[in-house]
Amino acid sequence: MERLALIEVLDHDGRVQHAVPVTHWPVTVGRALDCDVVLHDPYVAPRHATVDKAADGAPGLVLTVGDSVNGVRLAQRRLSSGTSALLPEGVEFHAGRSGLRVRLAGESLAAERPLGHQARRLRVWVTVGAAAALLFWTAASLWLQNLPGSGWDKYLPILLGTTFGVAIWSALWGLGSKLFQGHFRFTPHLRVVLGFILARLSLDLLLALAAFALSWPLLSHISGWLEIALFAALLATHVSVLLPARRQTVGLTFGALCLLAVGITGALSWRHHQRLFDELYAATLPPPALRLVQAKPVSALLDDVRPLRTRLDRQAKEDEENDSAAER
Amino acid sequence: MMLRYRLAGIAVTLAVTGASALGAPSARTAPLDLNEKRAQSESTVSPSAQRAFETARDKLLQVRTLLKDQDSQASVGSGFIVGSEGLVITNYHVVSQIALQPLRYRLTYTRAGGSGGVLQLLAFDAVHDLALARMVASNDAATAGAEGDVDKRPPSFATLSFRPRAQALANGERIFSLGNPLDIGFAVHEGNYNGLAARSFYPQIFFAGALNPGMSGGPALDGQGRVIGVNVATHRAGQQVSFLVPAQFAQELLERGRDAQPITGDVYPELTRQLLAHQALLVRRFVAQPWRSAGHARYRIPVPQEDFMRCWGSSSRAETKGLEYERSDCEMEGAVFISGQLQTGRLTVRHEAYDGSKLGALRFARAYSDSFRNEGFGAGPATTQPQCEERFVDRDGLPLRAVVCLSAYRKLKGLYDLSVLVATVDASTLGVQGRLDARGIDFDNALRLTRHYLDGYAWNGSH
Repeated sequence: MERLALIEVLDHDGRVQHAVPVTHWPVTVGRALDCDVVLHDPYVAPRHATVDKAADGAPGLVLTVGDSVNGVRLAQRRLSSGTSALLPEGVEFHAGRSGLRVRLAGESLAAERPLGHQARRLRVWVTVGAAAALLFWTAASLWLQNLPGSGWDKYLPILLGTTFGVAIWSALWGLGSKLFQGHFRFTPHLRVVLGFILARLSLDLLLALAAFALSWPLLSHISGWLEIALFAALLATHVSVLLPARRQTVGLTFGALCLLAVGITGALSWRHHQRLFDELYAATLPPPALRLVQAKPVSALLDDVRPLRTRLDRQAKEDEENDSAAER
Repeated sequence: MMLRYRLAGIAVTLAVTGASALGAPSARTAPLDLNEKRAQSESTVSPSAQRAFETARDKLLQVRTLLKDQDSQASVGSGFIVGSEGLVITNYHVVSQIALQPLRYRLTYTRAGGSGGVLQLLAFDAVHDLALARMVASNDAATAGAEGDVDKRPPSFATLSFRPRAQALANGERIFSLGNPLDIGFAVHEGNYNGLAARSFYPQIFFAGALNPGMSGGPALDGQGRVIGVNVATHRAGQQVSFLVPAQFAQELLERGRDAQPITGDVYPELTRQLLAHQALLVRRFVAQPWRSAGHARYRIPVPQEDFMRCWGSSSRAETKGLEYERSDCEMEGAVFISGQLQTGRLTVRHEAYDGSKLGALRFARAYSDSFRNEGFGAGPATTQPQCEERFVDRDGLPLRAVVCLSAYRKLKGLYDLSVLVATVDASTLGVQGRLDARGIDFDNALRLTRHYLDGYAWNGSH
């Protein structure tokens, strides 16, 4: 018999659970055994919907909702019992909690997607490169910390710790992939975490150096906030790998969480220290060749200090008023 | 900075508060058996100690700070009668709680005979840690004893007299300190006069004798029973190293406050006035002194004179493979006691000279940054949180990174705490980091001290 169409039943994540070949029109969808497409879904009526060719030989399909309480959801629209609507080809519609999609014979198919050996090879190199960069960075900062002539035993624990830490982190997210997508994916998560750690380390360093070079302490102060933002972005990227279909929602959610965290951090710092940032002054003193701005006479510093007086006096007054309010 | 240690030896004041009184029983269980003790006391207490105690006995008081609504004592000290109308000298730190929080505490006295009453605070000299109070006989059963002074007539008290200023004591002369140590009972402690304590900003008598908590505010007498000083502090690290406020300051306070009305209101304006005068004198004297040399080959580093500061030095071990340093810590011995939580009016100056030639430029930069980062700004409840300004400062061609942090006192209006951090930034494996701290100074003096301190840095002449 000629196969006229294929009805695909989809799971929650939009993947095809099973497909039912269509050999005649109309096709009935429902829980009843005599339906062409039988759905095992308690939110579906025995005869939930019918899909038929459009009348008068017009192209396209028509979806008619049967005797159903829940109706059918089609592209943000809810069709109630007895109504019909044009069903565009390849568009998902929902009966109860089940998603369905119709593919018609003679549809135009998208071109074959290449497996991307080239791209995959590149990704492998990026991953290996990033891992090597992280190990190198860790070793370099240990080298800075250790006394000259320290043996390899001073490096080993942290290097191994970093390696295992990153691997366990990626593996846990990989398990998340297994949960949401059905297969364990390690390297995409590894790439994500390596990328963000490297970004964080280099930004921290750059900001500290720039704060010194330009004598602009704010650059150093904001690194705490930046850390929060990067951590939020890291989590958002991991979750996006798990739920590629919900990328936008994930981005918005973590963006909002990040703003909230930065807001709370700033508010707490303001409450405890009467300043937005925890850091009181920029402390990194790199080699002097990096200094780009001129040193000024002492009087310039004193000119900067003088305005503190009004700020401090105001703060002292506020503190004092709060104290005496508390005493009362 | 990176390498810190606590200097031994800080003078502690002698009022007994709840916390220190808890420690008292252990002092009692010192490993001396009773017979030994008796033998010792028979041999060391001289007839003149007996005489001193007998003359002073009825002029001695225990000064107790009680909670307002119950008879639990918050702190105890001692005092002595100097005016026949019931005027009493004690330490400011003995009465600080009542002065600062008159709604929470009350001040009472108990005499050696057991009688007692209420004390009214008339005047204080926080800088010298003295206070003047007046005894008010009281019928309060909780404080008054059975016998003596509860009388309607204005009573007339026997007083201790001051040794005339012109008659200087000789070093080694025997003197007697009296009070009520640890709330155990009135006692006389014998010791020797050793002149004035070195490197004290205000003169303090160095008494080689034991002072114990609870004796604060008690008198120190010469052989004729005349007051030569007031018990104030003991050295935490030393043994029998104690300090007395010279009697002249008590005399001056007595003259100034004899006719004063009892203090009932806010004492902070008066404390502020005294601290402002103190810091004006302190900063004037400090800035007038030239800096000493730190003996560094490359840099001129400001090290204060040791007139009223004490400097300790330390350095890295010779065999170190890492950062080499030499460190100097200078601080004033005493501070002005304001309350148990607040002592102020003092200066500290310190520096660390680093040599990272064994480390190389990158490792040095890291260690040097860590040291610069590791600075505390202990903003207490008395001050606002610090606010800082920072810059590269040029000192005759020597570039410095300088950070100036200030916080303001909440109740002592017009006083500030200043910290100036300095790091030289001219060499890749060599540098000096220094810090000046001034507590309880006015804003103009903060600017003056900052300039004075930064001006102390330069290339060394031989550079």
